[in-house]
Amino acid sequence: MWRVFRRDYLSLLALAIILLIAIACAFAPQLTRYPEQGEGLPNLGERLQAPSKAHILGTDELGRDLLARILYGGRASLSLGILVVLIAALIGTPLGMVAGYYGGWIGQLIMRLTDLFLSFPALLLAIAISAALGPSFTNAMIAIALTWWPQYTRLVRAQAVSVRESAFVEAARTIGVHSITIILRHILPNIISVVIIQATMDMGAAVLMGSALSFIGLGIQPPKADWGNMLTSARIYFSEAPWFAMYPGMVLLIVALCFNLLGDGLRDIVDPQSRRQG
Amino acid sequence: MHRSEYFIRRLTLAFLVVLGVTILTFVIARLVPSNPARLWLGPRATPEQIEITTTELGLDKPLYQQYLIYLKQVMRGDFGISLKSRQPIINDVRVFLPATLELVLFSMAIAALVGIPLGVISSIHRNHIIDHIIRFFAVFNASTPVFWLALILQLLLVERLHLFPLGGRVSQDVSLFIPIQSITGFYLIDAPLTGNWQAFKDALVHLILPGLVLASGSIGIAIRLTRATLIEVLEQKYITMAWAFGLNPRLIYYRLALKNAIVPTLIVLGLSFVWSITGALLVEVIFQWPGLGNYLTRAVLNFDFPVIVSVTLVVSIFYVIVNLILDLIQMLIDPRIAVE
Repeated sequence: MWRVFRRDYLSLLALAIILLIAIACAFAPQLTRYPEQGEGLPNLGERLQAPSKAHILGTDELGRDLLARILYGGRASLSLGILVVLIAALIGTPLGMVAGYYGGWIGQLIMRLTDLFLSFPALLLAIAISAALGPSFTNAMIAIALTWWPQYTRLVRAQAVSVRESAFVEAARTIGVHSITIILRHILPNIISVVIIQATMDMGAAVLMGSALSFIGLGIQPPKADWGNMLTSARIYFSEAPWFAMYPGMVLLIVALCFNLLGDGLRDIVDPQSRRQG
Repeated sequence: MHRSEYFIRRLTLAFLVVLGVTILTFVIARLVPSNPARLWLGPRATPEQIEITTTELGLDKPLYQQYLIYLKQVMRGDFGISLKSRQPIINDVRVFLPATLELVLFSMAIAALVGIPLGVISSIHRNHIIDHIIRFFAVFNASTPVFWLALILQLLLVERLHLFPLGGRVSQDVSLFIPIQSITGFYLIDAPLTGNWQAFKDALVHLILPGLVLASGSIGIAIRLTRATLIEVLEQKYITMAWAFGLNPRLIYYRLALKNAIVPTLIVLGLSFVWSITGALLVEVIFQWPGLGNYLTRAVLNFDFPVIVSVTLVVSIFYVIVNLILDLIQMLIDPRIAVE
């Protein structure tokens, strides 16, 4: 019991940190003294300055306050992560329910399509799609979501198959409830918690993948920042201005770590099986 | 199901997946862009060139004919011309693929050597402090942006401590005075084969840091999977019986339990291959490793679309083949898989 409580404590801490960072990013214009620099306005007089009182985390290659850049960049990185997972779940869940509930040729078709998408290394597929669409924030988001939905389809299908066999679904079917109603009323509520846990666990990875895409130039375009493209520019100056590479990556690491811890904790609470094993 | 039957089914499946991969890359190359010919030729193409390419790629023909043309080209190894180097892409890929594979395989070896023992230790000391530390280490590894880790280690170990070379596969002296003759394309194999031990040492030193960085993510995967499987194995009856007989714990863990965890270990290798090949795309950029990742990233910067699509296709096909091989090895070790 104590151990469970302690693990919850850890995930609560993770949640608090995520919320703190998210709120800080949301209120970036109010929090920083240099909102226009956060948006991308150069300030060439103060290039690559080490952390000081005026610029707590130092400045970047165009003299912009690094903290402001990180906060504004976080708006892009975090919203990308959240939107990717949301879109992926919204595509994957209905497909998974249909495949699981109906089965048959339509289920086969959906699952083979899922297999196909999963036979690509995800980042690579995302790179190819966003290169075809052209580099931008929206296209990066679409590209990553397109590589991400099959995981939800697989997960949801497995769940839906087991729920389909349960007595209450059988009962609903016998009294002639329409199958769409069954899916929405009986299947969906039984699988939604699994989807939410998976989504939480995925968010860190989605933020990481978004920044990886942006790092190689396929994400949000300068002068706008996100944590990935900040590292692209930091790379060139990293021996003269190590803080420039240090901080954006550190925030990225903290966010991904917290999402992973939170996801682990949620899974333990909902699925006692995994708690017993871990 | 008989073994040979499983073998054939798995082979057919892999073939179908490869076919599917070509369909999907075809869609990305020809259907997603609004003007595929322009993307294929780059921004400086003249209207005449675009017209020629349109006929060449069959863009004016029905979709299924376009796909057949594409498939024929791919099977001939004709991936088009790089917009930047003006070279056939296949030539570039031939040079860069071994470099990437060498890096990936090296990092997988590190990941297995570090991750699997840690997973074993973690499962033996389940829920004790050692276990918690190792598990946190695993989550930490999975959460670290690999390109950032590469940058930081480069700063610390190369710029400040001068422990490793900055990047590349060999130093300039070696490539100028004692170049490694290319036989397989793997420097660590080619150098000893030609008796070029000095170059071998140099290549190895260049491999260590990128290999370590790349391994960090797979180590996390290896720890988690090994731990989960061993915990499952340790709960089985034959292990309980071994305890009841009073067998030596070391014998139980390392001989009886680990033997049954070999198949999952192969799965670990498969998963870490996926992870490493995508990670390599990013790590290569930072260490200027002359592999596919570097090639791909430069292609992204130059809008060299044919290269992007081709690298995606080649790596994905490679990925399917690796998975196939791992599946077949698994079946040889554990015949139960063929029955399922």
